[in-house]
Amino acid sequence: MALILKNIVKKFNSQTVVQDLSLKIEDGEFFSLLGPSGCGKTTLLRMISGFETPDSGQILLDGQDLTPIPSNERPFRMVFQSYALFPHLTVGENLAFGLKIQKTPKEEISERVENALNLINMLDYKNRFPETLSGGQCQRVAVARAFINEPRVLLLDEPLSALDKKMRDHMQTELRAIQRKLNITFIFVTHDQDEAMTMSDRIAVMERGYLKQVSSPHEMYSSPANAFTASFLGDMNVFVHSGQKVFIRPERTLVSLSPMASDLVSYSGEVINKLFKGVFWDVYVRLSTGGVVKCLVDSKNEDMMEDLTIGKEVQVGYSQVYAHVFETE
Amino acid sequence: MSSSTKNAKNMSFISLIPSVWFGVFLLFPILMTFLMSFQKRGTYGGVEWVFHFDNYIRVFDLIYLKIFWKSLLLSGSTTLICLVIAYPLAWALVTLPQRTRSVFLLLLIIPFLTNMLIRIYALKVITAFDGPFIALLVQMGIEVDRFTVSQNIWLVMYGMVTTYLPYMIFPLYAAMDRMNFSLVEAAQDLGACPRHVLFQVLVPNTYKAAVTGASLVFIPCLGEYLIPDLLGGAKSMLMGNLITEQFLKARDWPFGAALAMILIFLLMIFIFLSSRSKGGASGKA
Repeated sequence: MALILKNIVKKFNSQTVVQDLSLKIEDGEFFSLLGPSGCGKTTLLRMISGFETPDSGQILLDGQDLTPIPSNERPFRMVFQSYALFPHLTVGENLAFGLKIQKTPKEEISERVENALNLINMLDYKNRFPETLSGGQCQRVAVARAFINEPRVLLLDEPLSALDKKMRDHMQTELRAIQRKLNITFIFVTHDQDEAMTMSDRIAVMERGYLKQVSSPHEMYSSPANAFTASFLGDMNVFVHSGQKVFIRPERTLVSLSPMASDLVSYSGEVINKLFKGVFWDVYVRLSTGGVVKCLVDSKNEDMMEDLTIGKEVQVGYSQVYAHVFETE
Repeated sequence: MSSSTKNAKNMSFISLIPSVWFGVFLLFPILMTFLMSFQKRGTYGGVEWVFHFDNYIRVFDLIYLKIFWKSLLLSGSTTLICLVIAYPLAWALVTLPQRTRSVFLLLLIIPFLTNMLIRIYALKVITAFDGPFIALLVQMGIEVDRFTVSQNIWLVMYGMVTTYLPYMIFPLYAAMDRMNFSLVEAAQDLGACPRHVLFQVLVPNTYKAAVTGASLVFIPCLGEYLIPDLLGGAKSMLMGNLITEQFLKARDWPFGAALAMILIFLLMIFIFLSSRSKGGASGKA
């Protein structure tokens, strides 16, 4: 009981956008496809939905090959980046669109529309037209229109990118709550690493058509499989130790005015900037060996921050335990 | 401050020009026609200044009603044919890649901008009873009655459709181009088959453009006299021709004026209906 992508290849003209990609997505999972723009994540989603056909490879749902099945017969629903709400229909009619096509009885349609509107807290908006709604409301209607048909999988194409930051944060929690309530698979495309980390059960990171790593947000953050995921997901400091690049998270990078303990790898440097972020200070240090690293200092550490003035000579270090070293690709 | 109000005064003078233009060249002639429609024909042409309704009573003669009906039927079917051709054509245009699209648009625009008289006359010459089209048919050994091919109602219809088709395509093309294409994908995604996509997404979202296109085709068609005259000959008398004949041949200006007033009245009904149906749609959207 899962959605399996097998050796998917997709070319546009002569350019390969998805390169021999295989992936298994479990039932009820909140799965994110994460990557910079142009990495092939949207193309992959459109192949799952049936709007694009892979050049080779298979898309299997419970063992059945979906590739020859047209998009309107796949048990998937898509939430579009532009919402794509029908402007000539009310919110209620938008939700009922798919059900009417399936010739669902009238009473059942109105009951399910009410339930769906209830779930997104928009019961009062049933007879409003989309152009009278805010961005966040359009977003919720678009999601409701997709899940009302009880699809096996909901496909979301950067659905939050048009919202402002506050609304986006709110919708992240709300989408996650809706997914838990419905218990259906969500495949969520995004280029925003924070968004992917906050919401997902698992994340697949893509770069230039290749799948770089698939794992839970926590695992991906604490043990990235390669240099790309290491620097794409969260901040990373790069040290050079005995000719090798060593990746360390800023929160694992220590800064001190006195010499470091002998079991730590330490460098000397100079404070070039410090930014107050509330809970932490971001302290930027230029290493004497070259390069700038970022360290986090707890803002409760007031005495230390007073001494850490810009231009001050400091020691920066890390424990080998938290170091990530990758084979050069 | 004072200079800006002065400018505004100058501007209001400029905006007066089109009003004067409309008054002198549109409203005044229509008023004249209106007044003339109640007069009596002079014995040697011209107008006798007597007020009566005889012209309007004469309009309801069966001969003229038939001509009215034929005109309405021809304009209506031309509009319908244009709509049926233009709708898929406009859709094909918006789904073409940008470069090929401009080529096809150019192919539509060139004949559209070519003088109508030249185009229609060319068609008349080509299909004339001693013209190249019939010569070709004879060469191929096909037996035809030369006079049924050269001038008939179907040829008139063909001329009307080719002349007015762009007026239907362009508003539809603009509306479809403006429409968010993901609406179509959203409908497909929700399980809609092509027929559903057409009638539940495309048509409701391009309905207003279709009404605009229909007005742009129907209104000039109803008053058309050049195309029926050149391509239909004496066999197809339409309202436009009837009015022209009253003024230029029969020399019955008051009756021609009455016919013209009826035509204007019919057009006004049509414009009112189409603008109301558009208003209704926008109220809902």
